[in-house]
Amino acid sequence: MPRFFFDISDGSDIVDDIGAVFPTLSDARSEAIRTLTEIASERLPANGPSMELSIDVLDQHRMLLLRVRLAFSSQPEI
Amino acid sequence: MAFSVERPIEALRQSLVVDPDAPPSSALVLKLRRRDSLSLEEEKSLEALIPPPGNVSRTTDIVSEGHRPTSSALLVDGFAARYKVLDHGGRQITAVHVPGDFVDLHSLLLKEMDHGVVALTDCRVSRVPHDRLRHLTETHPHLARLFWLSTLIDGSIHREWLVNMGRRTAQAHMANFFCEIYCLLEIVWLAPDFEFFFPITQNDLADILGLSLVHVNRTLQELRAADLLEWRGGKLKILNWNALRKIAEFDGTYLQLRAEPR
Repeated sequence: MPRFFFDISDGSDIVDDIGAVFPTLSDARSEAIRTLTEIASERLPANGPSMELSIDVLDQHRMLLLRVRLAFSSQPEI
Repeated sequence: MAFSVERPIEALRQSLVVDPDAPPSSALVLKLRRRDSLSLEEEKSLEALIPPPGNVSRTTDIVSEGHRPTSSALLVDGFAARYKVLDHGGRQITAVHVPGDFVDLHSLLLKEMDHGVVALTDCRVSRVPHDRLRHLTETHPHLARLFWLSTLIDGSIHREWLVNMGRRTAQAHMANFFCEIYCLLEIVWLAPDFEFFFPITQNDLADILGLSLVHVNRTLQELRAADLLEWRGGKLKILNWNALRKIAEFDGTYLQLRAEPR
């Protein structure tokens, strides 16, 4: 099974050097989505107006296979 | 190592591996002794209670869901996990067991297993027939109370896990788990100098924490980057216990680490 690497952009710059093995890219995508929602539940700003979270899924040569992105914004009541 | 001394346990030292020559009751005796003193007769009775262990290979069930065991399994060496499998195939691990734990002591009273117990690593397991356990509880009320205490501590660990799952961040949750596993191994003398064998997979850790594998990797990298721990070649070393404990908000009271009359 291929190994995928998941670089998470959420303001810190830790590069994934462990990776994880999944049967297909579609399974890796589901994993990226689950991770995104877990991180969102902790990291979305309580006070800030907006934030973007994204995860790049890379192969073992660090070639970009896909990117999942979540955009959050909070607007004052009109 | 010679175990001819009157209390075989006195020959044991903190070590990374379970001594294969030690009586299979050793870790259990250490675990109970941390909570209360045992008489020599009680230690001998425990030694007589525990039969020689058999091998269970990694990923094999020690006890399966739906079974009605007629013996309770004492983990002599290795790591085991209680788990439930969901309809869509996902697995949640609800407890991790270390040497000295009876992984299904409750089957003596509960009868039918509502969950399975799997070997996370190659394990050695002694199976104690229920009639012998029942007999011991009748002849040794103090040991019966200490077995009861063990299942109560299993319950307090579950409470802590609930708090972790429901309210703590991934980082605090993971830090909490590592603090807990260190304490459990230290009790049975398997964690000298904050170091212990912990050869489980990151998939197992994800199922323990109820987090995605990628989130687990990421959180592990954060703890490593902060120089709190190292986890290489199946060996985990806590580099900064106080800092890890602080991140985890870890308070070991729930593990009942004081020896007192019970």
